[in-house]
Amino acid sequence: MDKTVFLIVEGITNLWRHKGTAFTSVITICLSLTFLGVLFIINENSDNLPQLFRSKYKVEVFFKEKVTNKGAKNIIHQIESQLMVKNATLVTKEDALQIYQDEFGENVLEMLGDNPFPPSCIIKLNEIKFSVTKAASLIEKIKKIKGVSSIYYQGGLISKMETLYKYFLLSIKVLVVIVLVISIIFITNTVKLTIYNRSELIQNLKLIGATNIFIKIPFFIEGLIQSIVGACIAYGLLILMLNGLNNILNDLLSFQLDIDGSLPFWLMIVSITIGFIGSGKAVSKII
Amino acid sequence: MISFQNVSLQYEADAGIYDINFQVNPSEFAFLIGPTGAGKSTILKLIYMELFPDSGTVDILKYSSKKIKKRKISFLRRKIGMIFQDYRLLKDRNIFENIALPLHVMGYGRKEVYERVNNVIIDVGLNGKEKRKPNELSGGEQQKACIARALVKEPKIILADEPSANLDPDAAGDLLELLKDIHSRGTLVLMATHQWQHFYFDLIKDWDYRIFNIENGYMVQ
Repeated sequence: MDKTVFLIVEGITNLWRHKGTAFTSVITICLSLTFLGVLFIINENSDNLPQLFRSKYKVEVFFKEKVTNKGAKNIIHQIESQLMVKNATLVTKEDALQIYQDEFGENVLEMLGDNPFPPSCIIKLNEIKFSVTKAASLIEKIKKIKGVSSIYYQGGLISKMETLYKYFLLSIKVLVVIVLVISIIFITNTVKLTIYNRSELIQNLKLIGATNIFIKIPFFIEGLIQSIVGACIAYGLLILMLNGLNNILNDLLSFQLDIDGSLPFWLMIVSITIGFIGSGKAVSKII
Repeated sequence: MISFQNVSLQYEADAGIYDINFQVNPSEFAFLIGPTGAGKSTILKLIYMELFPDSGTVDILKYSSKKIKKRKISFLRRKIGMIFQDYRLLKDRNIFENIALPLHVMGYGRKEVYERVNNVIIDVGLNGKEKRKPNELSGGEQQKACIARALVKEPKIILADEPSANLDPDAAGDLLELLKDIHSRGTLVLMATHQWQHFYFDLIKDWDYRIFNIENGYMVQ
């Protein structure tokens, strides 16, 4: 019992005795985990950003002139039954006339004596189920519906944007892996340096009859505390950064980044695991 | 208690110890003398089993170099107090904490650690300096702290590796007196030194001691 208490106290006291190196370790762990956390958040939200843009995708379907508003409603029902259609809004002949008048300030009805605009509808696509191939297939299906005259859809532009999203998502995933590996090396080396700095202590302990486990435990406790503190600060920084960024994003795009509830858990796991492996390896080398 | 039987160890191409035979019995005081590089430190390392012989057997207390398991070495070392030329005190701890360390390793409780450390501090004459860091003490005082750290666990054997090398003659004399005092309590003391100084003879003329002379790795008469 006395030995256990001593080892725990020793681990904690060592942090104070070597405040400089402990501070460096905590900062290294904190920065590595913050960077990792940023990528984790981007990865978590990487589907949200394309969905934000996809929610802006729309297809305009113009009906034939002879189609009445009632007939247009029937066509819309058929369109809405299609996969990937989120909703379809009818633009009646009268709505079209009003839109034209609002935009160009001319009363076409007075000029021509008749409303020349056909009814149309605006389709919003389901951003979650969206794919370029499915969109193309949907357009083809809508074209075949009786009463449909023409379709306005920026397929080429959307296809290019989707390719960009694909590369963006892939690069985020690759970056997460690279940063994870760099963080592991970074944290492990910092922990190793801390331990190599105290090879004198380890040698002395060996000479006075300390067992390997007696030598290792204070280092593990020290590493554990550093890992927990580093992970907590990193999480705090991430929350602060996220709140700041969300305020800006909200103003600009009405878009919010979410943070996964498991993030602090993962930060802690990564931090403690790397700390344990690093200190274990370093102490074993000296012992 | 310390027994070397036909012990040889080659640790470099042209350095080692060869066919060493000697025995030091409990409560004996012995000197291991010889020039630098003769193999004295190697013999001490073989005693605390940091090194193992290529051939022959080293028996220390109930432990044999041929049979000892790695995890048992720490238990052997708890029975040996070591005094070094460079003191090997931990600079980030005060003298009390340095001396107390072996007792913590052995699992002593706080009260006993406190009592034992304070007693040994008085024995070596470091009272009042418990809270000082090693670099705040003179060489002689640091050596006393090193002796106190070796002594505090009441070892059966004291190994002193060139303990007076960095000390002036007065401090070296004090050190010998201290070792004699330890020996008088029934502890085996083996002191390795290359500085066999004349004043040693004056100091130890009435003692019962033995000298083992080592040169170029061989024990000489």
